[in-house]
Amino acid sequence: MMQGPILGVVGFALCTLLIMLRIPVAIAMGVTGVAGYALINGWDSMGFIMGRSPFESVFPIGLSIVPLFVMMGVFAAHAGLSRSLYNCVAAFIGHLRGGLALATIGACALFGAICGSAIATAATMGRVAMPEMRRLGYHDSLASASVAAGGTLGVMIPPSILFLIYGLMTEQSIGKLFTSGILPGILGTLLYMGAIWFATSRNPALGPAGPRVSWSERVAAARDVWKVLLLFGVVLGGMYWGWFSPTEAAAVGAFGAVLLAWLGGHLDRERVAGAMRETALTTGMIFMILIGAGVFNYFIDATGMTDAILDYVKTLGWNRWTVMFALMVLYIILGALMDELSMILLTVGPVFKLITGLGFDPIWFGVMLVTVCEIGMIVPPVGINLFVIQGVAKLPLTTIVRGILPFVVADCIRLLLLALFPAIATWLPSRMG
Amino acid sequence: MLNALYRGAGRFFRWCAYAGVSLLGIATLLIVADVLARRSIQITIPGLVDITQLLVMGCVFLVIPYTFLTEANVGVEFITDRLPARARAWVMAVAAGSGVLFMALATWYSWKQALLQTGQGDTSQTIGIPIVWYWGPLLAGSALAIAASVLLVLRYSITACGGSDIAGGETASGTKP
Repeated sequence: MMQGPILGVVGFALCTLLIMLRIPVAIAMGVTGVAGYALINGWDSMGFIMGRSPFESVFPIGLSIVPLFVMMGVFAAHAGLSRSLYNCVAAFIGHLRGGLALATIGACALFGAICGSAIATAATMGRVAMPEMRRLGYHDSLASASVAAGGTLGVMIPPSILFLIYGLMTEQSIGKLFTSGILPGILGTLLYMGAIWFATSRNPALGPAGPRVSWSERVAAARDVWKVLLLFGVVLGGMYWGWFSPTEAAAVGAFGAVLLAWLGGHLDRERVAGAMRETALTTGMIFMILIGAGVFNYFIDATGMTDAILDYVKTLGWNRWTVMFALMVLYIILGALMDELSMILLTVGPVFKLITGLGFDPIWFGVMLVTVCEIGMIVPPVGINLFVIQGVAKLPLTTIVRGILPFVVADCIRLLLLALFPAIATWLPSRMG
Repeated sequence: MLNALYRGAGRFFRWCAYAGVSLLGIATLLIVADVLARRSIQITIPGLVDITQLLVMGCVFLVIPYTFLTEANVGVEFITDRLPARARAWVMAVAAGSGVLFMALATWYSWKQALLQTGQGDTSQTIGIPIVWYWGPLLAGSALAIAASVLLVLRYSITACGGSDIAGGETASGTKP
């Protein structure tokens, strides 16, 4: 019989193989977990964890925050706020070279402040920004890549589904994790803008300057943005200053998003049904992965693989930063191959123990992890945002991929800056009450 | 007949999903009311945590069958997309079959666990809601997810054997692609 840790590695490999063979990630994790656990501890023990795991993966009150933030993001996307945000930022910087692409990034960042999903951010902003950029003669590669990359800011700028899942899995403060994403999110926004500036400096035809807009038009365009700032301020401010718990903040955010959509006249029957379906599907998808990951993690715990990895890394005598570098490379490769949420749930158990064992700050690591997830979302072959924009803009994937390189470089620079200056991620949470 | 069954199931699971999200809406309203009442008149809704947990359990397990039927569970497709249509249908049938297997195990062992806890008279922590109320949505949702997966197995098996696709329009977007 195979030794536990080796069985764990085989389990990981088998699970990845099943995922590549189109078994849904949740089911692949669940089936591998069941089989592996039964092999180690027998069928009866497996029955016990199968009886408990689905319940445990949904029941804890802390998990209520997940569907509530999903609902907030979905209704915010249906509230028509994306167009207001885009028009506002475009009014201020659309006259610059590559200005509409810059505006797309800025609007994505602002929209990310009320929507925790990269896919929703990219899809929503794509529908608004792509036609405008095409109308002004922007090259499809720059236009589509800027939306795909900008969309990833949705998972860094709070509220963020990825931070939420990481926090729940590792028992870190959701409020601190959300706060830790603010400065890296702003940094990411600036670096993406730098990437656009670099690309259009080399080839100005990629993004011609638009017409200059008068100040009165700018003020008019800024009128609707207060709604987004208010919702973001109440949700994040409420958590930051301890007015309410993360679950309450999520409920207030969801209520606010629905209210804004209703006040804006965006809630006809069809849109409500669409928003409800989207909320249902995203919620079901996330919780199924949580259930599968719950079973899989029972199996990984039983193998003792995590401790074996820790011991092995210690025997290598590597500097802890070498370990971190290796982990980041591994995550970028994994992120290019699989969905980011699944990647976190599949790996975070053993990796978290490893990085905290090496003395890294868990909040800072959460930010690093979400940053590599952002890279994974725009890197082929399965960068999810590439496919989202492909669907929205009806473009060949190769066109989008051609424009994505400067944004990937910008993300790598952000990763480096976060490693060199961890305070970018840890300073704001350290100020929390 | 299979087309009609698939379409009917699609409608049923979609309405289950709407019901699930409505429960989430109720939870949202209760929490917001609690926050407002607590901050204004220092009154809280008793047992709100228990109620929220129950509503979220209801929500999650009412939406999961719809997630299965519309294949919204995350899967990696870049290898299967390159396969010929019938080979891809076989792969999809196997994928759906693995869903049947996993959810059947989850339902069976959850059923045993639910019986055990109900027999012990377990209740929620604050206001004593019988624990069976929490298990009910889980068991119903898991059983419906098995049904959804069986329908998917049927659908893809038929396609793999050269028949036409029986999916009557129930996709993740809610409309025919």
